[in-house]
Amino acid sequence: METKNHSVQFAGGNLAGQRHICAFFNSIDEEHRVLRSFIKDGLERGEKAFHIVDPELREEHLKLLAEAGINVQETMDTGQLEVRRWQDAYLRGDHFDQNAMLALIEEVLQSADTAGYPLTRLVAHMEWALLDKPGVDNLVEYETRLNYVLPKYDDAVVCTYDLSKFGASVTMDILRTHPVVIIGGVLQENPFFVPPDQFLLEIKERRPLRRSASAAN
Amino acid sequence: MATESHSLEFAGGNHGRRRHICAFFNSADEEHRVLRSFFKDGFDRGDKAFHLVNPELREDHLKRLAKAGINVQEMMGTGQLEVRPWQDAPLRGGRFDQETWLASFEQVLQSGPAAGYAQTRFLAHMEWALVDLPGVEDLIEFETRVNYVVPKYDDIVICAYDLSKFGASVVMDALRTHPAVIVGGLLQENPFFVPPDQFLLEIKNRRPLRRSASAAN
Repeated sequence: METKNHSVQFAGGNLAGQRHICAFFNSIDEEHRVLRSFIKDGLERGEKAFHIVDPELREEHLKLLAEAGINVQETMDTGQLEVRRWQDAYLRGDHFDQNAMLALIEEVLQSADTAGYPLTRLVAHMEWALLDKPGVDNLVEYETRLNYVLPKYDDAVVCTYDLSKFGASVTMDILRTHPVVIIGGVLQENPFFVPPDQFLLEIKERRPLRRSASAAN
Repeated sequence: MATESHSLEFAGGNHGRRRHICAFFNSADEEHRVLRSFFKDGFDRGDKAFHLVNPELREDHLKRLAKAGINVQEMMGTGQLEVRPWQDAPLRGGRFDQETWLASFEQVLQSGPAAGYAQTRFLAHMEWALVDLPGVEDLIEFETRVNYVVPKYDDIVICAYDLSKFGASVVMDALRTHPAVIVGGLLQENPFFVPPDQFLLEIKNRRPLRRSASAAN
């Protein structure tokens, strides 16, 4: 009989109710060092692992998982580990459609549940938002809207941001759209979190004043 | 921004040891809207105001203070308001020497009571760290060391960072070196704060791996 234990522990913290986590790293090495137990514990507990990665870092990502003692081939064969590239998730059709992506996230969480996994641990590399594609300037709006979706599920979603690539403005917005944050390898509840209703209003108000990266929208 | 005035209350001085505050803004408009009462209440209470500003924005800064109802000319005449450009403070001698500036900074806090002021409200624009001069890469080391100095005094020190100018790495480090933070116009105690002993160790460890100050974007 499977015991239902949905508590999630990593990075020196224990996840309570909030499961939308933003993780700031300075390198992929730091990312894997900090997330190793999050990923490994989940697989050992029979949970689903769904990763969305930079296609150029896919091989390295798999290598680092293997180095962490994960049987990558076997877990990928059974479908327990699924590693998807940006172009098969955020950038389907070569652009970012936030509605389609929100739907995809829900689909992923629901189908894992249907397939019998007790929980999904989703990890997503977010640097696709820096590519020159239509719609990527909706990143922050998407992130805040994810806060309407995730409370419906027990699953943990970690959005990783490479600090060496992003500017400070967007990073502060990202900080403010995640109820839980990992900085310096430590997971903390985030007092700077702004609920989505309020943040969407702020985005709306700032639009004429502050230019986003692309002219689209 | 369309929202009505949201100026933070700093009066009462009951900030405990959290008087080294980091403030993130996207514009001078936002800065002055959020800090209006910090400026004005201080003058009304007879506190000393010491502002460290970009020489190119000095006139603009004074104009904004005047617009907030502060008698800039008179305050500067009595010495209650002191507005110093970077080159006469952290960038004296065409470089940033953290030892020298740390000592001068402490002198500023000490000279307040000597001149009969109950409190000093110190504001520093931090974009001097983006000027191409020797030593500016020590910004974060300096910021963490300020935490040895500020708790000795009753003064409030605000370090203002323009988010449109900095990269994400340095801003995250700035976040982690201030026990209190203003983001989105709200002052909050900062759970991501790392005490200086620990942060200095981290800086030492990362040195061969990561370059310090100005990052991407």
